[in-house]
Amino acid sequence: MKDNGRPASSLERQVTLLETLDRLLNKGVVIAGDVTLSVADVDLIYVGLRLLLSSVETARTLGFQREGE
Amino acid sequence: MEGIYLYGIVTFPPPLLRQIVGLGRRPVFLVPQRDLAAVVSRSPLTLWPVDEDHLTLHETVLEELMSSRPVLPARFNTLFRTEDAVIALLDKRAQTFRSALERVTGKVELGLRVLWEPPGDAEESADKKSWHGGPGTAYLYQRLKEERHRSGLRATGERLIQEVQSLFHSLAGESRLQRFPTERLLLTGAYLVERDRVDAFREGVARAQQEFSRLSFLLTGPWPPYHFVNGAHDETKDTLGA
Amino acid sequence: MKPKTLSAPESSLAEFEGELEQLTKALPRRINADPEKVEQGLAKLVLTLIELLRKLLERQALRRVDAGSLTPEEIERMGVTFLRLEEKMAELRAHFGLTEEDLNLSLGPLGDLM
Repeated sequence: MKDNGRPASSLERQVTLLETLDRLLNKGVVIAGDVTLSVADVDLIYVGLRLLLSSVETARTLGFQREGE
Repeated sequence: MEGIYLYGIVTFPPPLLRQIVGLGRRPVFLVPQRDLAAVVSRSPLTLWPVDEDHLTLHETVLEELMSSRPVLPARFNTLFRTEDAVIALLDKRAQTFRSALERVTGKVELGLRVLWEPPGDAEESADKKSWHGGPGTAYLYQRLKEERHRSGLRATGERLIQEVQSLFHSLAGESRLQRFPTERLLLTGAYLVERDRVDAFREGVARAQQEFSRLSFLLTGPWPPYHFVNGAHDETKDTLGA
Repeated sequence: MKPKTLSAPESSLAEFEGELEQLTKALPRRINADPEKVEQGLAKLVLTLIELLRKLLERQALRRVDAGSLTPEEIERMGVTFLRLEEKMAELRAHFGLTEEDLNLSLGPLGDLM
C-alpha cells in the first residue's frame, strides 16, 4: 500500500470509504449465504403490483398497446 | 447460535502467515478444501451493520491476504451456518474459483473515475411558432429538443471514452467499464494490472490528466480484484476491450 | 485503512465524493430496518421501474412526434397524458418520501435504459 507521506484529508477518507462500499456491496463473488436480507412482505408485493398495473393502464391510454409495439 | 462469516476465497497452501483479527474481534482462519480455502471467522448469524468500521475491517482482512496470495473477495455479509456449508461451496464451485484465482494471480485492481463537464443544456427556443397546440404539445416538443441534445452529448462522450480507454488499455490486462454512470461522471473503469505495472499506470493517469485538462481523473487502489471475479465472457463485454 | 487515492486532483475531490455518494446511495445499507424504511425501499424499486417504463414510452412517443406520423390532436393528447403521469409520479414520490434523484440512480442522464 503506497503512502504518499501526507495525512489523509477527510475527503480522501470519504472517497476511500465510498469506493470500498461500492465494491463490498456490489462486486466480488456472488455467493448465496445462509443468512440473507429479506426484502418483501406479502402486503408490499400487492402495493407494488397495484402501482405497476396503473402504469400499464397509462400505456393503454397512450395507445401503444393498440399499435402492438 | 454462531456461524461463519466469509471474507473471500484463496489458493491453498500457503496457510495463514500471521494472526489476523476479523469482525467482532474474532480470529480469521482458513477452511481448506484441496487447493482452495475459504477465508472466514466465526460470527453470530445476524447481518453486520454496514458502516465504516465493519467495511474497513473486511477490506483490511482481504488486503492482508492479498499481500501473499491471490484472493477472490466475497461480498459483505456473506454468512454460513456451518463449516460444512463452506466446504460444500468450495466443492461446488472449485473450477470457477480456480480459474478466477489463476486469472488474478500477481495482479491488483486499480479503479479509475473520470469527471467531465457535459456541454450546456439545450437552450429555450425563442421560436414557438410551430407550437399551436396546448401544454401537451409544448411538453413533447421541449422533450424532443432535450433528447436531440442528449444524443449529441452522448456521441461526444463516447469519443472521449474511446480516447481515454485507448490510453489505459495497454497498461492493463483486462478492464471493465461503466459509461456515464452519473451526470458528472464520464466513465468508471476497473483495470487488472500487474503489481509491477501499478506505478506505470499511475504515471499514465498523470499524463492523461495533462492531456485532457477539461477532465478530472481519480485513481484509487490497489484493490483486491472485485471486478474481475468473473471472466469477460460472463458479463457484458466492454466494447473497447481487446 | 489508509486512503487509497493514488492520483487525484485536489480541486475535484469534493466533486468525486458527491458523484460517488450518488452512485452508492442505492446500495443496501440498512438492515432489518423499521417497517417504514423497508416499505420505502420497495417503493423505490417499484417507482424506479415505473420511471423506467415512463422513459421508454416517452422515447417511443418522441420518435413518432419526430417522424411526423401523428396529428396535432394526437400529440396534444399524448403530451397531456405524460404531464398527468409526471404529476402522478410526483404524488407517489411524495407519499413515500422519495426524490427524483432517488429514482434516477445508476441511469445517469446519458446512461443506457435497459
